[in-house]
Amino acid sequence: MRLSHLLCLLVLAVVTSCVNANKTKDQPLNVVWPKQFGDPLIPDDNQLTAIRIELGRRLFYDPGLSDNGEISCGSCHVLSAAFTDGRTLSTGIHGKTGRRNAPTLQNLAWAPHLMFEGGVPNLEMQILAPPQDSMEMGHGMLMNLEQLAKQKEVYNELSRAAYGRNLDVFVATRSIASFERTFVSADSRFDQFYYFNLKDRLNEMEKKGMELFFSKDLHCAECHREPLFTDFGFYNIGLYEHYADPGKARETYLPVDSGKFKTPSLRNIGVTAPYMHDGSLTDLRAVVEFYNSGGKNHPSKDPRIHALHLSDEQQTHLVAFLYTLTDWNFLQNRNLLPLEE
Amino acid sequence: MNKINGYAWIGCLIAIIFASCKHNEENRTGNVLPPAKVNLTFTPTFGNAPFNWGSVYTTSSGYNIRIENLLSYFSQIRLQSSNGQTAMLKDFALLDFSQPMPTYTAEIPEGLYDSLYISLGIPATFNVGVDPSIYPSSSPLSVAGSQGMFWNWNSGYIFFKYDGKADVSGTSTTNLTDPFAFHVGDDVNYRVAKIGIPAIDAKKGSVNTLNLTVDLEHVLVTSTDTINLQTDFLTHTSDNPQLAKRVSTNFAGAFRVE
Repeated sequence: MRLSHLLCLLVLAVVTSCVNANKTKDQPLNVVWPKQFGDPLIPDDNQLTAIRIELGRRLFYDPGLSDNGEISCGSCHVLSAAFTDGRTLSTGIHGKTGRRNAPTLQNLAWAPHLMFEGGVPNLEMQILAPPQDSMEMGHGMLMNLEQLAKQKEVYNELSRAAYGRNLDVFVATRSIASFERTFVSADSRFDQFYYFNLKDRLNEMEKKGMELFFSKDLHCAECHREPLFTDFGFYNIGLYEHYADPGKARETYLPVDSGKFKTPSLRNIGVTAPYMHDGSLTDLRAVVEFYNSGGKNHPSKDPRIHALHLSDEQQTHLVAFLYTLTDWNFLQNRNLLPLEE
Repeated sequence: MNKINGYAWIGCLIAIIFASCKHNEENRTGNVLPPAKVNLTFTPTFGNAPFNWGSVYTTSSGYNIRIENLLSYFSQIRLQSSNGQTAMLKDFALLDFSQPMPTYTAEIPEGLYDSLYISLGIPATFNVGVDPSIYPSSSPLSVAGSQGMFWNWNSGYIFFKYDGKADVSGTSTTNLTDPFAFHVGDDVNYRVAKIGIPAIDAKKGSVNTLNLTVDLEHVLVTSTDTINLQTDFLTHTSDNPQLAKRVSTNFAGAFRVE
């Protein structure tokens, strides 16, 4: 069975359940996950259900979760950009500029830890971060969920059906996590070519780029490991000699962790510009040129980052391959957009 | 029917009278005396002076300072007897020193207690990796109750924030322009203080009061460590872990019971 067919089943299951969702009864979803990803990490007490997903979907796009009622999760995480926002640094409440480039949200059901320094152990807890960050959604709104529920009766209706209690922080974090776990992207042309043997999906230039990507000399695939195109590890790639952002060292205090950031997934990388933790590289060509240069010197730089001596043509091939990781079905999945009332 | 209701009323009345008599008897024998109680109060000071929010104080090292933001987690506040018996007074408390200090009342087992233990911060088993959304909002560990004392990027609690302005030249008490901020968390900065107290002979029916004095100058100046606010004025723990350790150790020595 083709992967795209499997995903259709997943989407169908979600859609069907949502459409038929009786707002007073909830039941676990029978989700078919992409086989190549393995088993997802879903807490026993927050299994996916149609109502949990619907509630999370409503909250994800509700600017009422921010202090000034202007910023929702969806403000910085836009589906068409693989849930990034196209900005160098994200913009929070009152036009405040954030500290980092908005990360992509996809395949989070397989993430063993969250945030650039990996300090948050699960998605439920990560949901607390932006609504409590004064640079993002501002403090306090999660404390005012009761007020939000009074304004929109459907919230308590869904909350009680999904979690047996009115809307509160517990419910909000778990329902949004449930919605985000449906952000599954596994139907790129690369997937069709590589996992489902559809050899016409990549052209010659893209195949050459793929060979380069998986070659041992370049080391790309060691950290950007398929199928998720990340190993969830932390590396200093020599982006700077002196990092303004300590990265992993912020959590560990260890100088050796200075400038180390979690490996980002390359899935849908073609639509998530600009790149790096600070959005300092504007396009994929700039990223490939950076790696080809070998980066800057830093005591914590990973030894596998060194000058690659790729020709212009080879760099073009690499960029072409990276674009094959774009999953247009994911980027146009209407079930991940705001609900149409 | 009315007759039956009448009997029922009389029966209830008799039952109440008997119950009351029994209660009175138990009071006379002492069987129903309530458990011993301890009222725990907090009194902030700056050195030996009373602490008033918004006032400027001169440290013994010569800085004029005004504390502008001070919240702190205290936990596992408990009494201990010489034979090791313990009595928990308060498991977790978040004190905002800009607000009136709370009084906590606890019922404790009978015993002779001569030590008070108080922890600065949150014990490791309740700290990193523990989801604050599992707590009811009335808990100081909940999202609402933590009042922003939670680092969402690493899911651990901020043990204390001690912020303000200083005049490090020590010449002005009105124009304080030098900021300082100590935001300290992480398991390595969790501190347990043991404080000797006048012995409490907790017997049933007794009500005891413990006044815990918190010397806020002690965070900056101790007999063994003086924080130089010209150079050591900022830590968010990870950006200056050594300073975080120092102010934690200092703060843990700020308690006394008189």
